[in-house]
Amino acid sequence: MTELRNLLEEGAKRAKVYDVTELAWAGGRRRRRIRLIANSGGAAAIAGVVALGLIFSHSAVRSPQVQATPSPSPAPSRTPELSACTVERMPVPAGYPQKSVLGAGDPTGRFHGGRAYPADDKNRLLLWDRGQVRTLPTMGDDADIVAINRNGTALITGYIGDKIQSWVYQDGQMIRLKGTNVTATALNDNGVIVGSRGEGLSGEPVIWRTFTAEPERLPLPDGAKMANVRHINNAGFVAGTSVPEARELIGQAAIWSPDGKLFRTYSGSKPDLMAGTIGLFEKDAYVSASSMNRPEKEYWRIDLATGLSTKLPWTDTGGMLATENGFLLSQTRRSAVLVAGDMRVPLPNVAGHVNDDPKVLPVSRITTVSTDGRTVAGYQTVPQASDPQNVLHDVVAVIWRCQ
Amino acid sequence: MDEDSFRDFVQTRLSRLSRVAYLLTGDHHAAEDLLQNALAKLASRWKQVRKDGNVDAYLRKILYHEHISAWRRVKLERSHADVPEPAPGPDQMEASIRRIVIEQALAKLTPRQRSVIVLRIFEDLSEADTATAMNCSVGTVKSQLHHALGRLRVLAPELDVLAREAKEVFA
Repeated sequence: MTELRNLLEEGAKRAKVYDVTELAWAGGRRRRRIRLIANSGGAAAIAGVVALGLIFSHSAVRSPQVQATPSPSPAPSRTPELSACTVERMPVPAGYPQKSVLGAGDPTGRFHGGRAYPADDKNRLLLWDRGQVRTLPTMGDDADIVAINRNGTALITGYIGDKIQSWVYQDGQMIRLKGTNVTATALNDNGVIVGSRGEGLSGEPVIWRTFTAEPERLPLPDGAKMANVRHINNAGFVAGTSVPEARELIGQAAIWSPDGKLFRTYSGSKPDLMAGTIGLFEKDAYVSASSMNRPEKEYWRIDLATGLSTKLPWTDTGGMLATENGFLLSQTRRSAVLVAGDMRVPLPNVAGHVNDDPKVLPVSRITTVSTDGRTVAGYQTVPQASDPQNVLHDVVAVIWRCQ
Repeated sequence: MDEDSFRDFVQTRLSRLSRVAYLLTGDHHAAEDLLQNALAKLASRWKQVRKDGNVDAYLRKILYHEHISAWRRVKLERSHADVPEPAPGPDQMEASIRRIVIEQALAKLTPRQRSVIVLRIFEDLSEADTATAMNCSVGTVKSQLHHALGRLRVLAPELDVLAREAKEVFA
């Protein structure tokens, strides 16, 4: 392949020397700091980090922002008592390698979705129903199940060439959503779907009212260039993240009302505040806000009927997901815990998961918690079965059951 | 001390890393961003990765994944017209044309196809090392390379070299 290599070498001569050493080292330090503080980076980070803050707008798009009144209150009283969790791997189909991820779950904890990594052309998408696994037809490249509702209807994204595309899977049928370069991210039990159109975080927020509808654009807050929506509840409220520039981490959280109009916006009071939407339910939304420079994190509950915000007493810095029943799932590199008021229920690691060996980079990611907090799922690294040195690891889908 | 060792590591590889980043992105700004982001990730885990010992492989993996992520995150506007080509002399004309043709063809590949070309052919990695960098199987590397070369042949039929390369790889 010498001739082609020579041709590439010729092309590479046009490269300059990009001396980014100092910037990279500074960026690395900043990353270490963020890891220490936030230490989650889960769905909220993928969504684009929302900057929510202490400033809360009580009116729609062009209304002036007003200061929210923090009023510490106990966690919601609906929270059931839990004392312990057990963990086990989720099964993969017979003949499949162990490597698998679980990225979505429905609010009841019955359905979960993810993907496998077979070496051949076998189906890669996995759907678990009460722990029983089956495969779905693979759509596009790098396909994944990104959301699933109480009916077991799943949202799938994949790539066709350079374009991302989305599908919905229901009752054995795979329906391609309309629109080009569209990323579906969430759906409710009525089959209303939200997502974005465009490249990744540069996308505009859109909503599909039915599986066959054209995507409707949701309005952006003033000054925002893009948004990613992450949640939709059964009433049709939509929650997301809007940011002013494609590469800007600091932005604002936004909630749209069921009629598609912008309902509420939130913006950070300080430039170093970063926040994430960590849950949207029928009556309320949960958001978190953290600083890159201070080891603290704030959690807020937003009432969808009144628009009032209430500061929650949670202090864990690893908060990633909230449940409607008032649980916070907090995850740091070495541990994960369900928090509700004074109750703290640790989540054990799956057998074989190592997080204190410097030779390996452990991955432990919780992606979904059921509304009642009794079913938690995600994926963790375990050693590859064929590696006698115990150095090579795979991620495997895991589920925690709590009582 | 960590900072010094990081600097030493990067400085000795900067020229090569810059070329890889440029080939992956086809754009100076994007290449600089890609390299900076990848090195920042390396820096954030420098102590641990250095202990592990295989820093080059780790960096290669980050670079590849950062490339894919960046491509998904931001629609890069590649305009070769923005970068003025130095006026070639008569004897350089053919080489310049070939270079432009291959760059334009590379720009039309998917990020994964472009990556497999850069890793396997430009970096001259083995199939196994390419698979490690791309976190996929050797079979996937083979098929990706097959698709990439096939697509290049379609996109740049002027380059007879591609036909020969394909025969070499899949004979």
